Amino acid sequence: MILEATAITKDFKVKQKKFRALDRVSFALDEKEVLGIVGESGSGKSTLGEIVGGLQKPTSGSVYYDGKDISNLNGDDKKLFRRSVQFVFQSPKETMNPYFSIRTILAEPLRINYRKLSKTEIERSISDMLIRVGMDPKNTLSYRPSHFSGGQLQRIAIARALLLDPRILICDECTSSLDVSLQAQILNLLVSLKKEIGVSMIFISHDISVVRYISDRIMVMKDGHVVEIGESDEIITSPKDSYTKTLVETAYR
Amino acid sequence: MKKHKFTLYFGILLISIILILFFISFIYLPYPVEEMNIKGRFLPPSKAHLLGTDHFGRDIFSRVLVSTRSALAVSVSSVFIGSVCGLILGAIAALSPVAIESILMRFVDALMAFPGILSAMMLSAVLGKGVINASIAIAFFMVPVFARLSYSMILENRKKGYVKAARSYGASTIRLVVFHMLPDMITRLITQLSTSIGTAILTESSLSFLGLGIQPPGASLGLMLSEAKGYVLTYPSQAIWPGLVLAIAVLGFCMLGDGINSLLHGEKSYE
Repeated sequence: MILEATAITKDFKVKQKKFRALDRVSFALDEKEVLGIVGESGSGKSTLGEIVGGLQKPTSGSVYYDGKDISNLNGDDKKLFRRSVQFVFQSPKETMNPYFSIRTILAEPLRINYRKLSKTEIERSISDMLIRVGMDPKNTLSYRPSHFSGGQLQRIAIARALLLDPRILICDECTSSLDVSLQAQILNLLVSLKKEIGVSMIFISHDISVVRYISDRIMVMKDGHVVEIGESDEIITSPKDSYTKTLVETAYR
Repeated sequence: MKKHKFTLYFGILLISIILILFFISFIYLPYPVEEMNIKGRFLPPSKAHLLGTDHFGRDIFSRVLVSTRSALAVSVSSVFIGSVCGLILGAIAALSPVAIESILMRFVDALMAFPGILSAMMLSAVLGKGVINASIAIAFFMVPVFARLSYSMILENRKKGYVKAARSYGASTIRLVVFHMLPDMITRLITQLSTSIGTAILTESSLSFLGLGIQPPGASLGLMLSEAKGYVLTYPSQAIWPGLVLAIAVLGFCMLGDGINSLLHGEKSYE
């Protein structure tokens, strides 16, 4: 078990009223496992992703990485955790600073986390990684994000996340902004990368068919609760909860 | 020519006039600014006195030239100090926990509640008269403007996807602000700086006019206007020339700021 979330609760204040986005959500992620989180928008799945990735703090509950509570990490452990958990977000265009070239964008995580790397080493790593995600470094590195299409940018975003050699990759709706054929390409890329480097993944999406394609296990969420969690095929073929049934029926009609 | 370009170029033109006067004041000064000549009071413009002389027989042209020095020195230095302090204060507020944030921003609001000239007058009265104190006083009321600017821009930028992404691969807060947010903030900052310099020139003149800035017999636009106010009806040109230079300077910097703003954002804000 690489990551464990126990009783995660998150409250937001909306117009002076408390709004519970997550209510005592617990799950565990094994080494080299892909956990799919599926639910409609507003079900709290993205918030959950950001909490287990350390970008937001839960109101209560804890996240354990390698058995250590991530809210108590400090110094090198914190840096190591930060580096080991990487994100691929929904819309790649927004996650890249429009003022920078792809070279700068890809080099930045390396510069921050490995200060000793030389320029040529950085250049080599980012070129290698771009080739791995199916981009040509020559025609990529010097351009700004606005030069590329959504699918290309998502490949670059995946390259950026993998550059730090993470143990966990959190994909938050990472195919949702793409059209169907590109979705398939990105999914295939993720599947092959997963086999290649054996990274654990949390794959968040509203689309249960997409989630099924890549996930070993699926967790279904609704209104901040976990509705059901289990092996992918089991969830799809014999859903126990009525909400899961509806999801599956609408997806595979 | 498009309208925003006109604003920009006209602003640059006006500022160049002021800068030319500023540089001339170091190269060539027809008469010492403090040289009085009781026989030659209220002289009309002539070859010897380009813009005539004032009620002490001092050369108005020389005095206007030297006035641009204090106007630019005080405004630029005060805006520099005020903007640096304000930007840092706003950034600290935006990045602090809610408690500190609200204390700092309420403090800024309180500063803002005072009219600028009033707080500058108060400070000048406390610190004493003189150029440096006038600069500090003006800088003080520039602080809330820039604090608000950096505060709001950081809050706005913090929600951006690329800032979140940078956080996810371990960028420090300082790096986020300097590396990721600054490029987006810089255009608005330049606009605000230019407009603020215009305001600062006006405030410096007001303070001198009220006797809290440059002290007689030195030369400052506000001081010259103050001295001329007794002769407005009988000898208006003593007030007109410094007034004109003041108007050119303030208008120039405001138009420059506005021109840069609409050029970079493509908005028509000057209608």
